[in-house]
Amino acid sequence: MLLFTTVILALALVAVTAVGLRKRAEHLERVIQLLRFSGDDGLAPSSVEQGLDRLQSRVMHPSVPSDVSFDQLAAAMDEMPTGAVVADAGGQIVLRNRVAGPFAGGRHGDALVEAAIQARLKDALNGETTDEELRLHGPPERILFIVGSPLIIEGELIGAIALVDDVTEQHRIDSVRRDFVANVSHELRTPVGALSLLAETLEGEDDPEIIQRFLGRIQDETARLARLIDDLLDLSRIEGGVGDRVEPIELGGIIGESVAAVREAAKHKNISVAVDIDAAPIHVRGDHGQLVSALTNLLENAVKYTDEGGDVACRMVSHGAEVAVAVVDSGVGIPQKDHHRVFERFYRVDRGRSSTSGGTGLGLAIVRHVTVNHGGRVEVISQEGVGSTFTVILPRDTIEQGSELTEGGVAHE
Amino acid sequence: MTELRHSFHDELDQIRDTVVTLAAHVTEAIPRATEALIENNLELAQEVIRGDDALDLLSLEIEERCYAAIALQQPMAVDMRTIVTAMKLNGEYERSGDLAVNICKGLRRVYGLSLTPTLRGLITSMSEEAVRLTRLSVDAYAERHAGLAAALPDIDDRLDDLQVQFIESIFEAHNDGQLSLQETVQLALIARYYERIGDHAVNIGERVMYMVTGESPESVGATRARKAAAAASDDDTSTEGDVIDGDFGAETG
Repeated sequence: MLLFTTVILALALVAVTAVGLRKRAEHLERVIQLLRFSGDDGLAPSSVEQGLDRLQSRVMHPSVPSDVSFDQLAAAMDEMPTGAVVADAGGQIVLRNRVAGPFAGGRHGDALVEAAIQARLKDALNGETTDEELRLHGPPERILFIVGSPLIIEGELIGAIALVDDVTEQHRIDSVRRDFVANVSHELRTPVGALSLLAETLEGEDDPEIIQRFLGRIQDETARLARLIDDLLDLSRIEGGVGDRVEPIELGGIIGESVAAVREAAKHKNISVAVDIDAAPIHVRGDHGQLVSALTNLLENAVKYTDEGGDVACRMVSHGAEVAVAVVDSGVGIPQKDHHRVFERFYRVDRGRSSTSGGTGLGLAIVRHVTVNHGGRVEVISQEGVGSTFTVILPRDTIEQGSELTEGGVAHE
Repeated sequence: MTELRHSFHDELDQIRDTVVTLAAHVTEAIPRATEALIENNLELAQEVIRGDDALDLLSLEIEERCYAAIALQQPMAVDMRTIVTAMKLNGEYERSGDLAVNICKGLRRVYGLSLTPTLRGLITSMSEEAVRLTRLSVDAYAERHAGLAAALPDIDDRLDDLQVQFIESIFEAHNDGQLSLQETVQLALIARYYERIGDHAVNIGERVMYMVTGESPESVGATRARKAAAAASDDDTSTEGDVIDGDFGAETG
């Protein structure tokens, strides 16, 4: 990104020169030197400031001749992923590249980006380099970094440039990395901490009733750790893909097995589990065990986060070359801001709930990996207090299946 | 003279762009206020409250530019309606910004209250609808889209329904002892703020229709009043009608 920034700075300087300041045309050749991206040390600039310093230095010490036209440079700037807006010394916009184009006269978030660009250019024309991070709720949600810098030749201010970088993805990756460490520590520390405390308390305890109760708790926490290890092993295995275990699978059977696995837990909470699938058998190619694991995880979550007496449904609908299996619940729902993060490993919508839910924080990560392994995707629609719908979309098996396979499947409920 | 008019129309474009920027600030302030409310985040609430000063400044700038444009250019017909509409919209958006601030102040009064998932879900939905309506009102204005402007009251019905659902839910929670009377009242007021933001978007739609067609939302009522006045008076009704009809050179109505 810094390389692009440097190029843009160079091109911007040339732009100002070319449009109004004919006498400075000779500086064009000096700027071209910057297109080589390297300083005297042969390395690319490590910061915007360094890039600016080099720009200024090269302008002061011309060495490479060039006949690049303004149009060529403007076209080159249009190819940059960074938005660039250049103003002359009077504040008139003389160049705006393709990425920055929609901000001018834009609405909603774009109008705010344009306002920030104008503010940064104003500062830059006063000789100051300033920046700001603009967080936009959108939609779409974006985080933009905007920097404004003065353009100076031989001590004279000839204009200013504002650069706009979309750092949304960078921020997302940073937060995933940061939260992962915190979340995994939490998941591991909670049962270990509980075991330690329980063992410590048992040490001086004589009352058999209390000892019995604490032993029960120790068993629970041990089971929780064992589940965590199992899930980690599952995930590790699933991350390796489906391997050579791929076979034609009748999806109704997978649904039947998964529903049967949660039926008891649902009954315990008086939750009805409805199944609604196409009468005709629908096949996918994949790993039977992985598909059951994914669907069971979704159904377990649905039952876990639905209050007593609520409803859970599993629906299968075929659309052309794809088949969608939706698990719908009337549970607590997921806040909008967490929708895109729930498939991360160990991510918890409500960390305080992790000790009571009994889950390991890996279930949805497993679901995502399984669907990706099968060439599909998983989507979530949810509203707090209303419920959630997780939909696994898989490509249908294009080869017609024989009747023996469907006969072997679990009966549709 | 042509140069002067060209400059005047540039100024009208700039006024429009500034109104659009003001509206953009509002559409960002609403979800920020909601985030503060749902997450009990007083720091974010304070940011939204402080940010309202920038909205006020922008609003003042729009007002002064509109006055200057009227005073210097003496606009007529659609130009006059465009400026008058910008002034009206300026007030509506500025008020919507104030309502986002009110939501943050409401948070201060119920700070520490843990909202149930149902209430959080309804607040999120009301916020999304309020943002959607505000964004659509900006689109209608910027595109001079009378059809979209006319549709805003119907789109607002969903926000009204959500407010009713929310009020029912908080009363239910109050009856169950989950919310105190003070908390219930504050939450009802917060729901009202979202609903009012929707109403402002509807008002904006009406002003946009006026800008595009020359028909103000009050035209029907005004016509009725005019007829009633004409019926009540036996003399000189045409003169009175001429005065009332001075509608900045509107093509219709």
